[in-house]
Amino acid sequence: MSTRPGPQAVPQPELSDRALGWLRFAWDKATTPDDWSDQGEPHPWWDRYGSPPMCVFPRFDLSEMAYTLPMLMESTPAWREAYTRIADELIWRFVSFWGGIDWNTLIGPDPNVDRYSPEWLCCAPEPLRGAYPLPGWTGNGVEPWGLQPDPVGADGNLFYRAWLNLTLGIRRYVAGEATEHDTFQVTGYRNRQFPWTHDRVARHLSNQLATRPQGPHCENTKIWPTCVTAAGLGLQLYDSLRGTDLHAPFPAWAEYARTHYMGLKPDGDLDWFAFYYDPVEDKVATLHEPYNALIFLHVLLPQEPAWATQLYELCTRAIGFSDRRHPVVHLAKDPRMIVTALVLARELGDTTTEARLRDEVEEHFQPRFFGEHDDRFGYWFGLDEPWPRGQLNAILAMADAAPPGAWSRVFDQPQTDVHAEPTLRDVDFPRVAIRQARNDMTARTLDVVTAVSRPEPQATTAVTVDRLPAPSLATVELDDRPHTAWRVTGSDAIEVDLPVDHCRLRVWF
Amino acid sequence: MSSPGSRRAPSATSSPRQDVTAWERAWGLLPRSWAASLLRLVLGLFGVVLPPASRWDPVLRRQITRSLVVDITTDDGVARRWSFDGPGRRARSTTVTAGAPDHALRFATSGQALATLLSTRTVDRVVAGVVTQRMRIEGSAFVVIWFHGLTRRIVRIGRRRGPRVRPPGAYLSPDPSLDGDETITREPAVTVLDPTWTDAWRARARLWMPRGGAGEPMPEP
Repeated sequence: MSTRPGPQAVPQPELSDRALGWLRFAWDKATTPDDWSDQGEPHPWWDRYGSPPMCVFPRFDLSEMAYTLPMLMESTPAWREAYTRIADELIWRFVSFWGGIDWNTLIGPDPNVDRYSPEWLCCAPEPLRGAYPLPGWTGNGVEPWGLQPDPVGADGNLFYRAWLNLTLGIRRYVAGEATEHDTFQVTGYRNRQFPWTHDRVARHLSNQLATRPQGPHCENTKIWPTCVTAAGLGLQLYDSLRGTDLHAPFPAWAEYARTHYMGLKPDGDLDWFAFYYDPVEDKVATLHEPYNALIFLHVLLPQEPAWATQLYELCTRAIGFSDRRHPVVHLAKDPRMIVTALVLARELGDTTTEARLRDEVEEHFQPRFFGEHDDRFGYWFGLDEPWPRGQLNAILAMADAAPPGAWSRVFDQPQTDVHAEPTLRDVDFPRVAIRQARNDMTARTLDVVTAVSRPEPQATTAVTVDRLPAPSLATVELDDRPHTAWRVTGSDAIEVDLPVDHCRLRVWF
Repeated sequence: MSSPGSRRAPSATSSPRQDVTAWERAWGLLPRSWAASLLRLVLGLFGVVLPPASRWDPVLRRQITRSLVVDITTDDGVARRWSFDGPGRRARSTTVTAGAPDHALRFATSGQALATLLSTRTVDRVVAGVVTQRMRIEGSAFVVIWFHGLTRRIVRIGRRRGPRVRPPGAYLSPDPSLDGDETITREPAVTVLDPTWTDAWRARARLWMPRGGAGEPMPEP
């Protein structure tokens, strides 16, 4: 038993079994090779089925899966390598042919405008149904925009570059590496390659926000509050990490949206909210107001908390999520509304609504562990599919990944100090997972809690701790007992042997 | 570090909406027999007008894309059925016959149905009614929204949702002067994916977007 005084016993977050299970499955998806070129096809577990017609592209699974990575960091700020790897795998897929398949292949006018199902036709403005391209049909190549072969350098296709920028920002945050000027290639029309950097993408977005008061558009020609807000969120993160001011145009757009993209009734209830606005047709699509507004609040909240909270209250009241007099009703088969509302309720501290929706999720959305050692986790939604549906799980994982408020803290108060602090590396993940990894810079300790799905007590594994000020002066404890199986391996690094089992490691530095 | 609830916690449970509005209560004052007769008249009018309109109105015809049956019924005995022929793009209406519909909107009373269907906010009232379990939707709520849209082609009650004046500052055509430091590559308009890019055509054929347009059954939004 250690006799040295340790850090004060303040409860710190750690990754739950579900969070670890989600991370395990995310690792599977990210690190299993597949072909996203025009010669191949993404693995079927990449969700290109969710929330049709507008989200039936695997790119949405990529960007939404990135959301939990910085949230998981709240429990493991000193261990981030797995998140960085996953982010890298998401990004190369994002900029591939299949990442931009909608912009690259849904060319010209939509030939099926009068052939979609009634359910899908509802996504068009009422007077235009049957004569109007549905959301999802990007219409690259139509007049007056012409064919724009670069998915990033385009008038339209905002949803592509907005979420690319956000995902790049998340990668930069979890990795702590200054990669914003590193060039990468974006695959465009006819497989033409377009070089971009994170910095250029961010500045291009910022310029478009500043020069287009209505907001840049996605499909030709639809302006989505969701996508413009996602653009803002990525810029907010970029500014937080780099000290820039690229997010500056967003508040003016938010004010514009409050004025022109929504209306309130005299009693203060939500009258209407634009699902999207088409400036060419001068028409708004309003599928159903609570849905229109609810689905984007998680990207709005870190930027405009007051407006987001107002919309959240109006929407959850309108659809009864917060009304304890009645059971939660599933208005649509797509669970996205309930899933998003649960994440928001938790984020905002609305414990009543969170509890109601959590009960609903537990009862109807089939949470379960799966895989060889039951170490993956997902929600199956009664879909009878071989893998958990990606987009919905990615959002729902936000409610399992971290304490309330964690999502907003990513953007408001990113933990950038951690990148200079002692860091755990070379963990044999997923054989060994990390439930908690945290420095106490006052007590000068690094505390690590491991988790394994299949303990191998006779086996050992080695982990590295670097960024130590004086590695030869470190002392190590394993499960509160002095541990001597470690060695200095660099000017700032040590390597420690651990059992392949649940254990607690403490490094004094 | 901000803590949960450091933002103002929503007070969403402090003021639940009224389940039954004054509008609905007013319609509820009608004697039941009167309400039922009036509702039969209203539904009958739509039953009489919608089918011939589906023969000559291109706006209606382009929206009838699937064969399905929609019922509107009340628990106090009013019922009307609309059958849509997708290939023929026609509608017809009858009293409710044997066989379950594909989709249905069911009300407790004729007064409730009148209050909902003749409201300027029909969809909101249907949602509120479903949430408070005073109305029932069988099948897809989106089909109910679609059907409501068809009726508004006959009689439009209430304004279309959206801004009352055109929002300013529209960006309606390319303007290179606004591109900033980046150059947006703009090439002549095209109407179809390059037919020689066969790999792209093959990949595109796997997407639900074109498959849904080709008639393949797809999930609702």
